[in-house]
Amino acid sequence: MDGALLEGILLALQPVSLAAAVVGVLLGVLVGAIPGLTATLGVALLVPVTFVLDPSTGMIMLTGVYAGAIYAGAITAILLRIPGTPASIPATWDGYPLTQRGQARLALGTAAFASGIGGLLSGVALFSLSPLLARLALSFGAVEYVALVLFGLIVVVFLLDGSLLHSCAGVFVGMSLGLVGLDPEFGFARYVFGRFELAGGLGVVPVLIGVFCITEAGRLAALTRSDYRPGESVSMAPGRRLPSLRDVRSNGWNLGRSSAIGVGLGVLPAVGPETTPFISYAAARRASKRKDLYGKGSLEGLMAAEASNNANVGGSLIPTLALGIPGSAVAAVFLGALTLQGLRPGPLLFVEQPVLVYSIFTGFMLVNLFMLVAGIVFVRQFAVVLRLPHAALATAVAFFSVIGAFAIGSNIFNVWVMFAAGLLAALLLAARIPLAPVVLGLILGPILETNLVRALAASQGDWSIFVQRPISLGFLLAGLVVVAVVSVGRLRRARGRTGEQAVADSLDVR
Amino acid sequence: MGDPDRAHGRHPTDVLARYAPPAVVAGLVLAAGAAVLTLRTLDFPETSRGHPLVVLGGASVLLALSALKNRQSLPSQSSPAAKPTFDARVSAFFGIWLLYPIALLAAGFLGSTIAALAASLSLLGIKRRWAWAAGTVPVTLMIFALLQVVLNIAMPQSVADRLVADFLYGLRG
Repeated sequence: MDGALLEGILLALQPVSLAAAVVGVLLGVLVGAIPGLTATLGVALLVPVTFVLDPSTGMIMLTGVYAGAIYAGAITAILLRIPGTPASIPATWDGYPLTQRGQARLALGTAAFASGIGGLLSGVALFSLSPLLARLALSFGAVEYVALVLFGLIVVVFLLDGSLLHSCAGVFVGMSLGLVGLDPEFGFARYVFGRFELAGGLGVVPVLIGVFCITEAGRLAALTRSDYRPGESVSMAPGRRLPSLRDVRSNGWNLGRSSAIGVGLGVLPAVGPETTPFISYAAARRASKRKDLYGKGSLEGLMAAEASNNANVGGSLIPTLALGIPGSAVAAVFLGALTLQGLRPGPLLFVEQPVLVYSIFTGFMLVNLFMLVAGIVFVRQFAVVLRLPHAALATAVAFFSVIGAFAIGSNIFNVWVMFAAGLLAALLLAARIPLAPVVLGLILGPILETNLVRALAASQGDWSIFVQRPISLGFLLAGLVVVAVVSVGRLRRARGRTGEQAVADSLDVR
Repeated sequence: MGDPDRAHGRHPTDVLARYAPPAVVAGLVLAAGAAVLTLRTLDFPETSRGHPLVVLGGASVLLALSALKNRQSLPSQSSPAAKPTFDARVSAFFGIWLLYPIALLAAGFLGSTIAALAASLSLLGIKRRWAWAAGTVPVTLMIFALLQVVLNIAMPQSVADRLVADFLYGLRG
């Protein structure tokens, strides 16, 4: 294992890997800095390119895009109060007031510094926790996998913001898409409509490009109707770019706690970087001695938000690599990229490809280091992407979606799958069904079915097997705890709202 | 900033809502589609029927319930901003990109890509459209070189594409 670790580190330090990390970070920053373009879109568009690279180089590039995009959302959040990605909404609260006070450079530098620290700490967690989790998962059989996937699906439904009914519908739609192809038990062809290309199931990457990219192209095309004027100039008064040593020292605990929240929540399926900064911001505010500064340009608040969303990136990769269960929608795309390379994410990846795994981990650390440096040095140049008009962005996204889907096996059928997935995504969005549960359902559905078939075959159809095995029982009980805690929380909030309504009504009567 | 979504500092995700069908209609269309597939499951051999029946049946019921729930919050859709409208430009934009794969196979990468990029940019009303349209030629050539020569992704080729590819391979040596 030590030999593999060293080999992995050396592989990630090869010039081609370093170049992939730099290119990935720069592309990620480009995507993340453009409001509306998400990390998921950036990673999904780049997956077909990684297909022709060697797995280590390709995966390092993707981690660069992922981390770079999450960080770069803060650039427009700070400069223009426009969050580049949903993950950077909290960065507007304290970042923009700093810009208004003429401290844009300091705000951007602080965001880059906190993002880098959060990312590096999550890299440490990735290095230390993933092998442990993978070793534990090696003892998992089909029964445990069924319970784990059920736990994951429960978390997806219950921990996502919004309606439980809509999230649950999303999971079932995703699982329905996962039914396409041969039945795992008897090989019966389901919903293939006479197309041999569908026998192996729907290609995850074309579906993800359709869901996340082609819909985005449509949104951007629709935006060209508005009177948006590209080329807004952003003034950045000269000043210091980094927080003082005193600021850093006084925020040590804040950075550590926010990163821990980011990693911890990142491990859970569906709790992506768009959720964690709100929680870490609230936690930092609660613990702060200067609560009054929050929302008015607090470096503490900005650091809490930025450290946690980049820590979430590493956190979401832990279950993706160790268990084959994606920790977020972006991680699901990442998982699709690994599958495209002929690799099977999960505990066996650590046994069969330890060098690759450690090279990805090392690459992830390097990516965060590059991001930190690039964020501090080139921040003024990154703001230039704001000048790109929507028409050019919509055209580029549509073009790369088609080419990306086609490049997977040079097969035009994938392009039609991509368009069909885009149409389905547009209908789902119109019906207010969130897309993250759909994607996770698509990935987890076939894993659930295959393992359910195996588990029931081994137990001769006895369903009690799921409560007889301790690990399986543990996951099921944990799922019940999530259901209970979230339900109680929602009931309390609903009662609170009813109470507020009653007060409002009584005031109205008066 | 002119864009109201941007001006309010919120993530602009609701723009497509203006062009999408109402939530109830979309939910019911999806529920009906899932129900049709559920019925098809009954034609499967009994041994392969269980899981798809549960998953697709569940999906159709949940989608129908979601549509009903959306119906309760219908008043919010009556706001002018959320009122569905048909935008010929967005439809034509998708038309171009739906035709592009067919053109790609028929006319090769270079010709079809230059045409699609120029048409898409012009359609979306980009300023200085002639400069952008002219810019599509070198951009397309660069992407072709990247895909074909650097990444070795086989793109559909016409005679002109093959000549350019041979020239690029010659340069690579």
